Amino acid sequence: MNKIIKMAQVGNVDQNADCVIVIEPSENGNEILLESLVKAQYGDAIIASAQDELKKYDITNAKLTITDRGAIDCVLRARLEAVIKRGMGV
Amino acid sequence: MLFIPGANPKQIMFAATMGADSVIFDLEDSVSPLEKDSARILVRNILSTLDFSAIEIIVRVNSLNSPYWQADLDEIVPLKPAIIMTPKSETPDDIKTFAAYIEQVEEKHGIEKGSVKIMPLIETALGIENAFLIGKSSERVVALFLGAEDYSADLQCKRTKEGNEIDYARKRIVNAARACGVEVYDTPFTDAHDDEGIWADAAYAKSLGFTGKSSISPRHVDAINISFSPSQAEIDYAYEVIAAIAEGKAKGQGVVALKGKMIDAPVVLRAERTIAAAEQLGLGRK
Repeated sequence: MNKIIKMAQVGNVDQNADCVIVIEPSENGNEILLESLVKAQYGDAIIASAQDELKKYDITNAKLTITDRGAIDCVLRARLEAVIKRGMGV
Repeated sequence: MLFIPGANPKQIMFAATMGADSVIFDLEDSVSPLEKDSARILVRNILSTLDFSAIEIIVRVNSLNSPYWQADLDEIVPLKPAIIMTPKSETPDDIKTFAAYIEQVEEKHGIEKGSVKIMPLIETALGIENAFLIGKSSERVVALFLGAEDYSADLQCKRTKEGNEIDYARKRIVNAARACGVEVYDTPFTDAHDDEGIWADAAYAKSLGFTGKSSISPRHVDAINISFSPSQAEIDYAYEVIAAIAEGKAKGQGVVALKGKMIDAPVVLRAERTIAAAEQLGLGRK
């Protein structure tokens, strides 16, 4: 099992088609907060991708705050991978 | 060739629609040191997901004197981009170091050895002096590329729109590339808002023998494409040359003339290259 050991951030909120993700250690298991203009349409898919990336890195103590600006899945997953690695201190 | 910053998802996603034949996804100067990791992952994810088959993919990795170049190659080479652009290329050993590491990654991922080519970015005084040796340093080298911003800084002179300060480098790099039998690309015209200056700069680069020219702005792509494509008159003349040669051969003539001018071997070679370029660009005879 891997741990998130520090707060980290990735992405640019000023760019369309991007998202900003903040990761920090959580004492309540994985928590995912999402803010997105397309939450009604794609919220479930975004959260599923986030859960999938956390699972890939065997993380169970992350609080993720995602502010989405219309990122497609491969961009969202790139941001998730980067922020998880930073949070792990890799 | 269009430069696209590796940290900007939107620009990467739409890179194939900007009209450039080749796109250079940049992990070096346009990406801050704090975002090297995220840009590398971003470029890898987008290139491996979206369809970029209509363009030639080039990735500029970080230089050998940075701590990033190996991680860049670890992520990018498995995608089999056409070309890796190696910045700050100064000596043949620089290219051999990159080539050896690319080979390791190819081997690790079961990619045929030599698939990923190299385009050294030459942007220092030493690099220009070593251009021929750099071009000959590896079978992977397919083109040389002039980077004028760093080069003029290295010369300790101002970079101007007229470009007198890079004239020696331009001529030297074209000569070196042609002596090596590789292609050669000119530095970007960096005033993205000067829609007139790009035409003169591109025409001058073409007149020196450059294969093509790069741009940091999609606004300049059309001017570059048009400047480096053969004109209709050049295409028509090339076909006339080839036809005249064929006719001369059929008649058993040793010397062939067209419109009062003798057609010798270099004229034929130029005509053949013009036709090849026209066919590649989908341009035909009128």
